[in-house]
Amino acid sequence: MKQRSISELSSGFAVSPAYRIVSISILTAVTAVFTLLIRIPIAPTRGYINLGDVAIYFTAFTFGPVTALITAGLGTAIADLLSGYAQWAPISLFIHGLQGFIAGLIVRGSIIRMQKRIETDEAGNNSKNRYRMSIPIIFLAGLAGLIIMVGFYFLAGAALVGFGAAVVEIPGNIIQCVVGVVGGFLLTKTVIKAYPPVRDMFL
Amino acid sequence: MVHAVYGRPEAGKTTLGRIIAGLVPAFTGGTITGEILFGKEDVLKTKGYDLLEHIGMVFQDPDEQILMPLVEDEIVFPLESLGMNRPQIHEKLEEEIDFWDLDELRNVNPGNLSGGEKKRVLLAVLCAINPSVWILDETFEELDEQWRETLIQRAVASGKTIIILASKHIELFDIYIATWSVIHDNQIFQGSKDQVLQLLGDNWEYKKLHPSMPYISHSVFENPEPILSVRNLSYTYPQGNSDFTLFVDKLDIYRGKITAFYGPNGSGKSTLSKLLCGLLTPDHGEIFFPDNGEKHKHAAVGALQKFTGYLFQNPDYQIFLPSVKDELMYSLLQAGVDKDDAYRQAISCAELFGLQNPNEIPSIMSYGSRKRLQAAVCYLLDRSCCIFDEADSGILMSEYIRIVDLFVKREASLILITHDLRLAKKLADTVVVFQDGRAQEGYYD
Amino acid sequence: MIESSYHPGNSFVHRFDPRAKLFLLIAYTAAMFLPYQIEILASYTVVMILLALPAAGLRSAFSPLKVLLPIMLLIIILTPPFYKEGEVLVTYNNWILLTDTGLIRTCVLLSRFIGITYVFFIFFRSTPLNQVILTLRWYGLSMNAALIISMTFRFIPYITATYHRVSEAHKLRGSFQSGMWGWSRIKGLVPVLTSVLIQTMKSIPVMSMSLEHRGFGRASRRTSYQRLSGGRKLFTHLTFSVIIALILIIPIFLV
Repeated sequence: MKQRSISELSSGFAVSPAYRIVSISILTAVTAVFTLLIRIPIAPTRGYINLGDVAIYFTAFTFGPVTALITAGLGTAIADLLSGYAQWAPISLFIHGLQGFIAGLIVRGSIIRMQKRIETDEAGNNSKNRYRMSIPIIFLAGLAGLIIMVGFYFLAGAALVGFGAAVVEIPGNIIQCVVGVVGGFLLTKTVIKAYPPVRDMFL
Repeated sequence: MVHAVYGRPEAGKTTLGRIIAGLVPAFTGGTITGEILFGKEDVLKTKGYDLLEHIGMVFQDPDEQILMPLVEDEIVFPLESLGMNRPQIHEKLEEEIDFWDLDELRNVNPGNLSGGEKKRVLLAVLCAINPSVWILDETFEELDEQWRETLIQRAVASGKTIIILASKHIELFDIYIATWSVIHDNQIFQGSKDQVLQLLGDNWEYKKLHPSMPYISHSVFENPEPILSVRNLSYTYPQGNSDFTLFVDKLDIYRGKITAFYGPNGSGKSTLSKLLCGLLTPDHGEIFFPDNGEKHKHAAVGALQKFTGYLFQNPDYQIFLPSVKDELMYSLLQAGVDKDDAYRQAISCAELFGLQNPNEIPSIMSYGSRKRLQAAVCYLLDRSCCIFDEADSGILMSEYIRIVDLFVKREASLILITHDLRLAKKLADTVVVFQDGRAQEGYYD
Repeated sequence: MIESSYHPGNSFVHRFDPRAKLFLLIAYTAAMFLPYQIEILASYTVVMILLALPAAGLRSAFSPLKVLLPIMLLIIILTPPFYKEGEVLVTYNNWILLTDTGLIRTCVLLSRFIGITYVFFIFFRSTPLNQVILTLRWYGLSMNAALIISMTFRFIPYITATYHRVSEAHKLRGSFQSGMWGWSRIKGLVPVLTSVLIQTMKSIPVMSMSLEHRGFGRASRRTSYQRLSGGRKLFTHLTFSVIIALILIIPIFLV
C-alpha cells in the first residue's frame, strides 16, 4: 500500500477552532502530567525537580508561542493545585506561561525553516539535515526561559518564604530548566522523526 | 429504518461514517469528490457542527470521543450547543441517565469507566441529542447481550434512520434490517443479505488463502515440560468501587503449547498476564521456573520480564522510532547484537511479517501493519513465553493465525487472551477459564 | 495520583457561595502582604488554621503543615542570618545567631506563608471543580477557557494511564529495566516519553473531530446548564465577604 505523503496527512485543519481548543487542552494535560508524574527528588522547598519544563519546551518548539503560553501556565498551575501547592498556582500560571511564550517566540523562525526543509525534502533526497534545528537559537530560548523562570521564582519566593529560603531553590530550578530545554529539544526531534505530522501542527 | 453496512476490519467503515457526519476530510486531509445529499443539503459542503441535530455517530473507540470530566457534563455539552434551555436539558439528561442506567456514574470521569459503560454513556449522549440519523460504528461489540437487545429495540422504536457499521455478522438484528450493504475492495455494494454476507466472508475462512495448512503447526513437543508455574497465587487490586481478588491455585505453562485465557471482561485475564510478566507482584503465592530448581519461591521481577513477552491490545504503546527497520533493530542493538547482523535479522523479520517497506514510518502505517510490527518486534525478542492480549481485534483472523503460527514454529509457549470462545477452542491446547477472579484449567462447554 | 483536591462535606465553608469565597481568598492574600505587626499577622494565620477544622475535618486540618514542614524549616534556618540588626537574643561562640529583628522577621514570613497556604487549601478543599470554573466564569473567564479547563481534567487521567501502559510496554521490550537509576534511568525515559507524546499528538485530530461533532463552533449561542444560585444567598455572602475584607485591612490605618 502506497504510503500517503506527509503533507497530505495534515492539511487544512490547523485553523479550525475545535482543533485549537483540543490541542491546547491536551497539551495542558500533558504538561500537568509531566509535572506531577515524573519527579526526581532534589530541592526540598518545592519538593522535586519535575519534567514539566520538558513539556513546556516541547510545546514551545512544536506548537509555538501562543499555545505554549496557555499550556505551560495552565498546566503547571493545575499540577500545583493537584499536588497540594495551591498557593503557588497563580505564580506558576504567570511564570511558566511567560517562559513558554518567550521560548516559543525565539524559536519560531528556526522551526518554520525546519518545517520548510522537511517538506521540500520529502519528494527528493533523504538528507539527515532535514531535522536540524538551530542549536544557538535553542540555547537562547533555553537561556531566556531559565532567566525568566529562575528569576521570577526567586522574586516570588522572596516575597512568600523570604530571601534565604528562596535562594535555596535556585540550583534546583536551574537544573530543572536545563533538563527541560535539553529534554524538550531531544523529544521534539525524536517525535518529529517518528511522527512527522507534528511539524505541521505549529500554530 | 435500520441499514446494515458490513465490512472487514480496515475496509473503510469508520471513514464512511465520519464522511457522512461531516468530519472527514475536514480533519484528516485528503480529497473528496461527489455529494452526499441529506434532504436538499450536501453534507460535504456543511460543517460538522451544523450537522449536530441531523447526524450523530458513536465512535468505535470511545476514548476518541469522550471530552468531559464528568458523565453528566458529557451528556449536557451537546445539548448546550443546540441552545436548549435549562429545563429541556434537565429533562433529557434525566431521561437518558435513567434509560442507560448511569445514575450511579453521574459524577464519575467517563474516561475511567469500563468499555461497555463508556459505550452506554456515548449512547446516552446520542439519544439525548436524538438526531435524524444514527451511525453506530461497531457499537454492539463491547456491549453485553442485555444491552445489545436494549439498543436495537430502542433504535428500531425511535423511527430514526439507523446505520449500523460492523465487521462481524450479528444475527440478533437480522430481522430489523431494511437494507444490506458491504464495503468490499474499496467499494460499497448494496444487495441481498446473502450476497452481502458472502462478500463479507466468514472471518474464519482463512482456508481460502492457505488451503493445505491446518490451523496451527503441530507442536514438536509431545510430552513437554512446564516452563512456568503458578502456585497458590492471590492478588488484590481496586476495581470500581470495591476490591477485586484474583485466585489461581495451580497453573502450568508448557513448552511449545498454546494456552487460552478465556473469560468476560474484568475477570482477571490481563491481571494474571501482568503477574506472569513481572509487571505486578503477587500478594501471596509464587510464580516460578520449574526447571530452575528454585521451586516455591517467587521468581525475580527482572527474570520474569526477560522471560515473557507481551503483545498489548493497543499496538502503539511501544512505537517511537522513525522506521520499521529501526524499530526491529532496536531491541537487537540493545542486547549487543552487531549492527550488520541486526540489520539482516530485521529485514528478514520484516519480510516474514509482511512488512514490505522497511523504511516505512510506523506511527502512520495502517492498523493491521502496526499490529504486525508489534508482533515482529516481540518475535525478535525470542522470549520463551508470549502473551497475546486480545490480539485478534481489528485484524483478519487469517492474519492473526499466521502470526500465532510464526511464534509456534519458534517453539515459544503462547498464552492467548480472548473472550472469543471459538478462537480459544480452535487454536489452544488448553483453555483456562476465568470467572469472578478464579482461574481454572478445563474445557468450557 | 490525586485527581482533585476537593473533598465533599457539609460545613458552612462548603456551603458558602464560591464567588464570595474567591473574593475573600484574594482579599486575604493581599492583606497578608501588608506591613502589619507580627501579632496581627499571626492572628490572621491562626484564624485561617481554625477555619480549616470545619472545612477539612479534624484529621486533615493539619495536613498542609505536614507538607510545608521542610519549607518552614528552611525559613526558620535561613532567615535570621539576613537580619542581624537589633537586640541580640542567641549567640554561640561569638557568632550572632538570632536577634529580635530576625525573630520577628522569621515569624512574619512563617505566618504569611502558612496563612496563604491555608486559605488556598480551604478554598480548593471545599469547592468542587465545576463550581470553581463557574466562579471564574462569573468573574469574566471566557467560555472557551472554561471548556479548556474542563477538557484538561478529562485528559489528565487518560494521559497518566497512557504513560503507565507505555512504560510497561517498553519495559517488556527491553528499553529499560525496573530499578535503574541516574543516567540509565533518564536514557530509558526517552523512548517512553517519545511514545507517550506520539500517542498524544495522534489523538488531537480525532478529538477535534469529536468536539466539532458535539456542536462546538456553531454560530448560534450556547446555553449553559450549570449555574451558581444567585439571589439573596449570594448577596448576603458577598456582603459578608466585603465586610470581612474591610476588617482585615482596617488595622493598617489604625497604626
